[in-house]
Amino acid sequence: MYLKNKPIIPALLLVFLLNGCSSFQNGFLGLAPVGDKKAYTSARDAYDNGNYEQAVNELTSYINKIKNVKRREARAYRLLGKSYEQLDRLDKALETYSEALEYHPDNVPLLTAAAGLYQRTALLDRAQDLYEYALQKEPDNLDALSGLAYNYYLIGFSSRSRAIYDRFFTLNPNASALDRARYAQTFLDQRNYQQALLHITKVLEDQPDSPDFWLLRARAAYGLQLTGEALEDLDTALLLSPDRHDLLAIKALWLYQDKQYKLSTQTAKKMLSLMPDNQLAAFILALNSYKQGKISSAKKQLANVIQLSAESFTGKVAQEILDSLNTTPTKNGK
Amino acid sequence: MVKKRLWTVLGTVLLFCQPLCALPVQTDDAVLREFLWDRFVSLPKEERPQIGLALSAGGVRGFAHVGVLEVFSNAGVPVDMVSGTSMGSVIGGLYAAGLPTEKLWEIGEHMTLKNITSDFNVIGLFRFLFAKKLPDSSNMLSFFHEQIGDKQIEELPIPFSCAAMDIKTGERVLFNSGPLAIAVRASMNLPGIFEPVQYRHRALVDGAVVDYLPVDTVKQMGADYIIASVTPLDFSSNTPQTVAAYLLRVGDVRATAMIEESSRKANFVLTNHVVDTGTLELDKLYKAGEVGVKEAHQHLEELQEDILLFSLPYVFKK
Repeated sequence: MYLKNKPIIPALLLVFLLNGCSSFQNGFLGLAPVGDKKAYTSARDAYDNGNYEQAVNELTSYINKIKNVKRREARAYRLLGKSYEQLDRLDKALETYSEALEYHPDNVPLLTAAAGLYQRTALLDRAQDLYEYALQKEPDNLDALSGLAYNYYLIGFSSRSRAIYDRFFTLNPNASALDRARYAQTFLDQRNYQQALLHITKVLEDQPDSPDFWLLRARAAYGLQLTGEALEDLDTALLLSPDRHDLLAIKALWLYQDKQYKLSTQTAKKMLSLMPDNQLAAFILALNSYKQGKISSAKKQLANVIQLSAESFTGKVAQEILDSLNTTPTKNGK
Repeated sequence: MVKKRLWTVLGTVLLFCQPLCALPVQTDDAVLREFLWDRFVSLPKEERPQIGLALSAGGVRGFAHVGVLEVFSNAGVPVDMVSGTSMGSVIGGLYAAGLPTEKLWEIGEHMTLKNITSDFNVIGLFRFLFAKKLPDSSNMLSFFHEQIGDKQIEELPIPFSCAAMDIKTGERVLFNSGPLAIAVRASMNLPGIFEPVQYRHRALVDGAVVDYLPVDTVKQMGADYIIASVTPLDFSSNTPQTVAAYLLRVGDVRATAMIEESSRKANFVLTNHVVDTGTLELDKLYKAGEVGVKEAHQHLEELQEDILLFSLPYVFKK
């Protein structure tokens, strides 16, 4: 019986030969190896050089040339999706990943790319499902682990996030500064300031140019009641980003808490020089005036804060304090 | 030292010239909230308003309370007293006994019906058919003993209470002292599903029938500010298919009215919408917990602001 089928063998060999022939873009019976490598390499070079429009055009034509949709390459879809993401055309990126996942539902790089996009667009439940599925396929996939850990952080599940980061850093102790900073943030969110300080200090050894990382370190130090160190870190952050009013505001408030009312006032005034209508700066001035015994100034400043916006949290706090000052008689009766 | 650090930073900036911005810039309100919150949580318990937590019933849905407690614990939201009903009493009781949220999540991952009853089997079925006896929930006692030992309610580090109902009289029975395991077992003892718990001449069933969301109880315990964690009923699921499911649904409809009334008396209500989850689908506990995390996290800033505005005189007294 085996011998009877013998003539079929050369025929099969011929079919495989034709399939493998790269000159046929779609191959005989549509089963040829996908696209030509040069076209893909050119698109990837365009992407690497930041020519995302060109990458999109080349990848779209590269993908569409292959008529048998099941033979379209996952990596090409992924690069196309990434190119759309770089161009901020998130709807097209999402469309690309969704189409690709229909043909390659178990492709882990595609799953993590799509999950990353969902995460970016705040569709965190979907992102979680995809990351979890990717980890079922590849339990040690670093992109999926780091993505899922960050996803849990974003939904507020810090203990779960930290547990996944623990695993991620065991597998990849030299992960990026951003990953370690996020890890530090999970400790900070759990008020584990010691661990947060440890990790963010490590981040700053590799990446000392980010005011955000210095701010994180400052928060960890402040949590440990190392106010002097926290203020030094804030100063470093301010050196890197002198006009960031949030850094100035935090500094002014910490100085106030540390009873350094004059320095706090100076910092709040600096905020006001940058943003004359800044409500929080005006509020901090009022707090300092009160502590320095200038009650009527404090009242005027609080009234000014409320005038800027009565509906904001700062405005509501100012209103409460002003009401209480107005009902409490001061020493000199004013 | 500072100068040295500044030069290092400047040198690196020039070298890399690619500052990495990882965090969004905080709004002014967020900066102030965080500052005041730090002051608030550092106040001694007796120098600030007492915060009470009311945990609703809800079967497996009620595991969302664990997620709420996780977020509270991370943010430092103080819980000075807890009252819970049914699943709320299980979670509240374990938490008040000092069990950390990590341990509660573990319970959620491993809990099975065997932790509640050993009667969901053929013998139990025969017992039900011929002796007309419902399953017995006494396994809950050993489960509680395994987790926290033999604790009395009045010994717990966080004051706790829970409600059950006497099926003979229809009275609400409030447990604020005595053995914790018995109280919790009675509070979560679903009527029509489990045999009533016989305790001190009473036949006790799930307190959800009379006190689904124990806000009033928390008030009576001395709370100045009450947070309610609610797991409302999910009526989007299919029409009940069994007698037990019909009975539970009737209870659910009544519970909805109770939730509405009690919620009005709380200062802040967290509504955990756990969908597509049956009362006893224990394999969905963890997912229900995640819903609680999301709900609490989503409303955390709002809650913090509300507590701060409520406590402002205390915060600035410092």
